[in-house]
Amino acid sequence: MSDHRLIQSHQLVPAGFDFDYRGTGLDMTVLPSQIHCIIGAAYTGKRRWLRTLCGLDPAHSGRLSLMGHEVADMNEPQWQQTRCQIAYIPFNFSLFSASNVRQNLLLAPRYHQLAPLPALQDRADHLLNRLDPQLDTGELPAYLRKDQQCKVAIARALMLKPRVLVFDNLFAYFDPDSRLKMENFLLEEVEGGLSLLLITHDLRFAIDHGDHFILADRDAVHTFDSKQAMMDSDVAALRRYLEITGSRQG
Amino acid sequence: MASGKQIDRMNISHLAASLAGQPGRIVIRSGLFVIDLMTFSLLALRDWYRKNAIFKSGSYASTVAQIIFTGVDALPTLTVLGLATGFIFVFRLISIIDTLGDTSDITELLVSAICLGLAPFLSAIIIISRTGSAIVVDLGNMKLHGEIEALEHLGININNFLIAPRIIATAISQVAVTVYFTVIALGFGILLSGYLISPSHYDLLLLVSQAFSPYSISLFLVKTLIFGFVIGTVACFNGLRVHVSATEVPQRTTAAIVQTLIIIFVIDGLLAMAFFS
Repeated sequence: MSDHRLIQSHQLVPAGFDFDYRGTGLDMTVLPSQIHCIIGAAYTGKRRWLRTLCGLDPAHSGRLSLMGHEVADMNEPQWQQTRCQIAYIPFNFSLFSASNVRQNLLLAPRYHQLAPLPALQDRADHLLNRLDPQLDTGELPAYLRKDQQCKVAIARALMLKPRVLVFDNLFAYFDPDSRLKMENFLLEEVEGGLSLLLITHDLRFAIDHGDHFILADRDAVHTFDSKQAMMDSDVAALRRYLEITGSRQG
Repeated sequence: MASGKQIDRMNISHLAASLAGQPGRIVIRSGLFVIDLMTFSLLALRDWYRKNAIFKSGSYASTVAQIIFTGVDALPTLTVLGLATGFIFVFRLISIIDTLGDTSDITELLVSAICLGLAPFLSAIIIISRTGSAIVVDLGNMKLHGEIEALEHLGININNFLIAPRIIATAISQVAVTVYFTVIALGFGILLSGYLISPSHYDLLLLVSQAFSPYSISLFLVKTLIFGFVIGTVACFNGLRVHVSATEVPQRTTAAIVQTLIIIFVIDGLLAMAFFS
């Protein structure tokens, strides 16, 4: 069972909040094919929670294990392997500006020698074709629209065949139509075993597809194991957040 | 309560102490900088050595690209400057010595002054201005735009993917570039003096090549390798010190060029003292 626990935290509290956090730590476990959504109002440290949960930012207290390895005890090969298996895409993601779309996708798997080049090229073409058949693979990132760049960033992360895809509000880059396509693409990946851990302000996506919810607040962090548990909760911060976001998103 | 004179005396003594401390502070700062630089390069080379990364396709491509940029792409500039050096230094040196000494003096001077002294130094200046500055701008912009962080997120060790290939490629290219520069400068200077002064000077082509001892060849290789290593290291070090603002890129570029020049002057002086004393 333990090898199915992709991310597991126990009383985890991130370090480096911009505010004085006095709440409890976070207990959570990410299993295959699950969608964990981090929600919350602005300036509640959602990004800090996300980065700490995937091991990129240090923890103030508590324990975190990624792919079965305690982060505190990880050696460099384990760390590199973890970074391939838990792919992180920040909100202000960057593509490699001197490399075209195809090179962006091939760079990391070639570095990690995941497969022979022809196999990697096939995988890159397949991914790009599923994400956006019209994308010019020979184009430099500077000539792409931001939503196209976002698709390339997602494809680049998926080239490493991660088990968890962690991203920060990437739906914000898409118009409604392409967002729906992106959602469907990600849901297909989740059916295939990928887990998602994401920050989202899109309550519709969170409620329709989320399995677990983490509400970040300046005073505490709250977890909900189902949509129903979240909707039934009387946590004041959640009610306030749902009220504001729900009315804004209709 | 202190009188005006006492206050003046205190200010003067404070100023004197401050001035006296300045050289010490400069020495300490310089020492710490050199330690930082050495640690930085050793960590990069350690990661490269552990991973045998030069043979990984990504790192290999990066190394080859850097060698092509530093060596091959610089050939036109090097040729022009080599010809100019041949005319300005080699030809004039031969014409001056021709009136004062014999052929052995000329060959000795050409080997020690041009091959071991001037050529490595001038080619290093070309590599600093061309490759060193390009590395700082490249890494600085990558850092600024979050590309370095993106590499780390993909599990790529930047030491063996970005830094070590650049340092190694710059060192290799520096040797190749200096050999090329020396051949062009010496060859052109000797041919010109043979054509304009005396046909007997054509013999210098053979005499100079025979005047190279294993000792001088080793010195040449060590010196150029160190120069290349320093250029690559200082450039990468400064490139990665760019943080959040675009204005830091030109600042770090200037700093890298100045620091490299100073270090190369010092190393050149130390090597001259060590090998020629």
